[in-house]
Amino acid sequence: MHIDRSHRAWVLWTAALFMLALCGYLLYAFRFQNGPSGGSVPGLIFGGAGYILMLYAAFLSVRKKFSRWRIGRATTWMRGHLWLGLLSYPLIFFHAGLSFGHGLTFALMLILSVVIVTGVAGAALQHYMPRMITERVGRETIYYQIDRVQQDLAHEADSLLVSLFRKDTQYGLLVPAAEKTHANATTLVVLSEYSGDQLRKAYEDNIKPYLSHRGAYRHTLHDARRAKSFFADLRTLVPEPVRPVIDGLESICDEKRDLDRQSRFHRILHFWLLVHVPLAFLLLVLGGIHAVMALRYG
Amino acid sequence: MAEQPPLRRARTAKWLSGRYDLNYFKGGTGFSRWRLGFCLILAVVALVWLGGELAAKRQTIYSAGSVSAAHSFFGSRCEVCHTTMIKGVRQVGGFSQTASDEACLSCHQAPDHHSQGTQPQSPSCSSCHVEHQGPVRLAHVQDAQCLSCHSDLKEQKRDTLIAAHVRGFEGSQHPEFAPVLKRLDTPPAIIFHHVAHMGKSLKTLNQDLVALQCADCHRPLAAAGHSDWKYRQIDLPSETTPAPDASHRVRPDSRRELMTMPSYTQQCAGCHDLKFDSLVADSLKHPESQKDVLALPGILQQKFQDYIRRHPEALRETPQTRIPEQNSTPAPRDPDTWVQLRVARAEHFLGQNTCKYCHQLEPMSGAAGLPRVKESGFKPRQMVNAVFSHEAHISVTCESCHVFSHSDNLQVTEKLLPGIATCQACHNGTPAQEGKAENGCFLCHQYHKWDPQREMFPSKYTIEQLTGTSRAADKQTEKPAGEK
Repeated sequence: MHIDRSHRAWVLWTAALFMLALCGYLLYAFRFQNGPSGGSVPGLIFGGAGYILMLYAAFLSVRKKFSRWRIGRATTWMRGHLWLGLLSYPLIFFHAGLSFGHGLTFALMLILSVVIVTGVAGAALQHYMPRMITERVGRETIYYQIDRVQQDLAHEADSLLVSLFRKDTQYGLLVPAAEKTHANATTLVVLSEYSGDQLRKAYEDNIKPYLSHRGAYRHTLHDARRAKSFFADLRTLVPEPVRPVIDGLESICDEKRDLDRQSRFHRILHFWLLVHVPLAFLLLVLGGIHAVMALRYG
Repeated sequence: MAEQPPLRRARTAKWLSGRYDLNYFKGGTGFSRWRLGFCLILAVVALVWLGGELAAKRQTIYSAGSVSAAHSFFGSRCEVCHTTMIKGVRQVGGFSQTASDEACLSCHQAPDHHSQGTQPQSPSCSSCHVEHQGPVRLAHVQDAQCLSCHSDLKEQKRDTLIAAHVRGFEGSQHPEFAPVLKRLDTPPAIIFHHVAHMGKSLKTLNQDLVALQCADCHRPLAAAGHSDWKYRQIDLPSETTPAPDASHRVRPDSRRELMTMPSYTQQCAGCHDLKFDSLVADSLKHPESQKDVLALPGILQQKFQDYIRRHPEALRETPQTRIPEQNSTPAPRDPDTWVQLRVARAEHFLGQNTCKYCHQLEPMSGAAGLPRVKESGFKPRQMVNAVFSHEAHISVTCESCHVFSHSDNLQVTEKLLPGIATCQACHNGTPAQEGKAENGCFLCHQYHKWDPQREMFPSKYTIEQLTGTSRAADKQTEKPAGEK
C-alpha cells in the first residue's frame, strides 16, 4: 500500500489520539499514588482500548476473506489496520506502565513488539517495493500464475525449436520466410549439421533447464549480460533467416528472468506476513488469556 | 501438408489471456497455507506452554512481577495471598482470587493508624504496600499515600494538632519539627550550656583537669552500663555490666538508636557536689523527686544535729555570712536554735544557689522554704511521632547535627535539638540517588500505631504450608524401612 496524501487524515487522527493518550498517561502516572499499573482503572482503560484496536486490526483478514460484505472499502480497512494498529502499541505500553512485565505479560509485550516491527517493516516494503517491481520487472504477471506462465514459456521455446529441426527436404531446412514477402512464402535455408548440433546442445543444456526450473537465480541465463552474450554466440551459428528463432528464445529467457525476479520481490514483499500474521493471532489469543487471568488475580 | 510452426513469437492479446487460469484465486495458495500452518503451530506451542504451567500448578506466569524480598520465600505459591477468605476461612472454587486484607492479616499484625479522633476509612493493605514491584521493601510506602491526607489534614480532621499541610520533605514542604519549636518557645527546665562544658579544661572534685567529650555523658542505651561513667558520683558503685557474649549477638542497632538520659549522679556529680554548709563536709544526695526535695529539711536538720553533737564548741563561734540580714540575727544560745538557724541558712543557700544553678524553680513554697523544682522534661525520644536512630548516623560527628553556640553568653537558651534543615542537608531525594539520601515519609514516620504492649499474634501457618515443601529436618528424621 502506497502511503500518500490520502493517509493524511489517518495520520492526523492517530497523532491526535496518541497525544491525548500520552497526556492522560502523564497525568495518571504522576498523580496516581502508587504510580502506573495495569490493574488500575486508567491502566485497564488503556489496556482495553489497546486490545480493541488490535482486534480491529485483526479484523482486516476477515474483511479480506469476505470481500463481498459491505462494511467499508478495503483501502479504508487497510489504512485503519495500519494506523490504529500502530496506535495500539503506545496504548498497551501505557497500560503496562512503560515496562515489559513478567511471565506471560513479558511474552505478550515481546510478541506485540515483533508484530509492530514486522508491520512497520511490511508497510515500508509495500510503500517502496511495488514501484521497484514496476521498474525492474517489465513483464510482471499474476504471482500465483507464475508456474503456469513458466510452463507456457517452456512449451513456446520447444515449439520454436521444433520449427527449426523439421527436415522437409534433403537439401536443407525449409523454414518460413523471416520477412513477409507474400502469403505462404517459404525460404529454403541450409543449416550445417554442426550448427544444428550446437544449437540443439545449447538448448538442451542451458535454455531448457533454465526455463523449466523456477527461481534459477544462479543460472548463466539469469544474468542479463551473460545471457545476451550467450545468444549473440548462438546467432553466429545460424544463417540470417533463422535468427528470429534465436531472438524468440532470448525473449522467452528474458521473460523467464522477469518472472524469477518478480518471485523474489514478491517473497520479500510478503515474507514478513509469515511472522506478522501468526504472531498477531497468537497475541490475540494470549492477550485474551492475560485479560481473564489479570481480572481473576487483580 | 502440415501447418508450419511459427519461426518467431506471436504475442497476441488472445494468446496471452490463454496463459492464465481464471479461477486461480478460488483455491488456497502455498503462502496462505504456510501462514495458517504457522498460526496453528504457534497456538499449539502457546497452549502447551500454558497447559504445562497449569498441570504443574504454577501460576507465576500470570504474575505482574516478582514479589517483594519479604515474601520471596513463598513467591511461587500465589494462593497464599490470592485467595478469598471469609472470617479467616479460605474459600475454594470462586473465580476472583484477589489478594484480600484478610490474607495479609493472617500473617501480619497491622494496628490502626490512630486510635483516637475521627479517622478516615483505612485503605486496603495493598493500596499502600504494593506487591509485584520486584524485591523492594513493602514498608517503604510511597509519599503520595501519606500526602493524600496529610497535605490537607484539616479537611480530614478539623481538630488536629498535627501539622495540617505537609507536602513533602524538601524546603518548606514540611514544617519545622514540633519539639524544636516547643523548645524555642519554652526554655528547658534544666539550665545547662554545652559551651561551658566543652572545649575547655575543667577541674573535677579531685582537682583533675579534664576536657569533656560527648560520649562522657551520652551513650546509646545498650552501652549505658558497659563501662564506668567518668564523672559519676564518687561513692556511687560501678554499674559496669559484662558485654554480651557472641552467642547473644543482636542486630547492630539494637537498643543503640537512642541515647541515655543524663542524670546528676552519673554525669554531673564528679564535678558538682551538693555542699550546703561550710561547716559540714558532707554533700547532699541529689533528690530524684519533689518528695525527696520536701524531705531535705529533715535531712539537713539531722546532719546539723549530728554535727553540733560532735562539735559543741560551734555554739560559741559567731556565725558569719555574706547575707547582711542574717548577720544581724543574734548568736544561738542552745543547739536547737543553732540547728534551726543553720537549716534555714542551708535551705536559703540551696534554694538561691545550688538548685538554681541547674534547675528552673517555681516560687518558694511557704513553710518548707525550699523551692519547687520544675520537671526536667528529659525524654529518651524527643520526637515522639518520628523514628530516629543515632546508630544509623554513626559516621557523622555529634557536633554536625547538635550545633551549640560557641559564644560564652550563657543567658542564651540552648537549642541543641537539630532542626529540619539539618536533616534536609542530606535527606533531599526520593528515591535515593547520587548525592541525595532518601527522604520519604516512611523513613521517620510510621502509619500503624504500634503498641509495644500488644498481645501475642496468633500465627496460622506452618513452614510447610507457606513454602509448599517439607522441611529438611523432617526429611532427616525419616529413616528407610528396616533401619533402626
